[in-house]
Amino acid sequence: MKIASLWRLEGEELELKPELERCHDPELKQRLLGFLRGGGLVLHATALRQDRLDPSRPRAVPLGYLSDGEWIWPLEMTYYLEQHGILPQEEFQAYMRARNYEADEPPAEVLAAAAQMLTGE
Amino acid sequence: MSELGEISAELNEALGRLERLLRQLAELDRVDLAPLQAELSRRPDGRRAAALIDRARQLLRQASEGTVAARRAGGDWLAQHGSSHAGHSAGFEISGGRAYLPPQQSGHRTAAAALPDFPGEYTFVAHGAGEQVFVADEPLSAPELAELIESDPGWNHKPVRLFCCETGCGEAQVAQEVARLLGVKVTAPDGIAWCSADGRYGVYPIEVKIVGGEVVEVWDKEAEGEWREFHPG
Repeated sequence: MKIASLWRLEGEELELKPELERCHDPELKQRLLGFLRGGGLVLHATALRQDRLDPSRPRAVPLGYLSDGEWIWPLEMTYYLEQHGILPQEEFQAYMRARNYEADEPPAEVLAAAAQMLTGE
Repeated sequence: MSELGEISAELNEALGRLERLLRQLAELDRVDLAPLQAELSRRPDGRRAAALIDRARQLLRQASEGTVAARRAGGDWLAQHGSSHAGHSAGFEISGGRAYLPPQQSGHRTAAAALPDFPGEYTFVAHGAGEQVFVADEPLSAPELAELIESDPGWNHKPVRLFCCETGCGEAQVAQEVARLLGVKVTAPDGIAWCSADGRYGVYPIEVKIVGGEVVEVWDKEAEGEWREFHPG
């Protein structure tokens, strides 16, 4: 399974990947959000964390991962697209487009395998 | 925010203020004024003061009942008008409890459903941060949380497990107060509470790792946190 992420590591800090673009097309944004809200939950923490791009929002960003069996993506990807218009990486966008922006919920054993892949267990 | 959302937020804020005021009044009510009242009643010039204490108590009871009624009426009204807040407030049933997570994210149901039963306990799942519980993006006061749990017929006076991050951190005032208000033991995590699709769960800090060439943030099983218990007494 492939993994989507908004961040790169710079030393010990997380930085927004410089190649990620902003969305200026409301229709595309809604389609992408439709996909990102689908799939099944792989790993979830009942936490709300600070917005890394707007520190005035201390408890706003969800923590966890979803998957459709092909890709694994973080819950925060929905938040940053919705609030800041940050687009996912191009390869993942192309995948969503090919799936007509619909993410199915995969069988439980596929989600379990995704959880083991993420946690390394 | 939609108009309904704004009304809901304003209503919640006003009720929150009223509840804080009521808590202060309740503190006053706990002071034993009976001897003073008896003494005042015996003095012709003190009868009015004694009557005022009675009146204050009566108002306090009415205000308490009014707050609960207003919140219920508000919830009914929002539900009738199709607000997303109302849907969120209703939560959804899980094995052994209820989850209050964003309704637009279907995957939340999967994850909450994968949570194991905590035998003999009622599990309350919601987002938490900094000792507080959040439902519909709003922090709940202890009386609001206690009322929400009490309103679920599935609770049935069982000890409560708050599956809400950080609600057992520090002084954990909300968890402690809910234990007192409901009269049952409350168990809450002193860190991030995680669950996975394959039914694993626990309290762990966040670890940043590289998996498949990408940055991910997952649980760090090397540093397990604790479930803290809070008792009514």
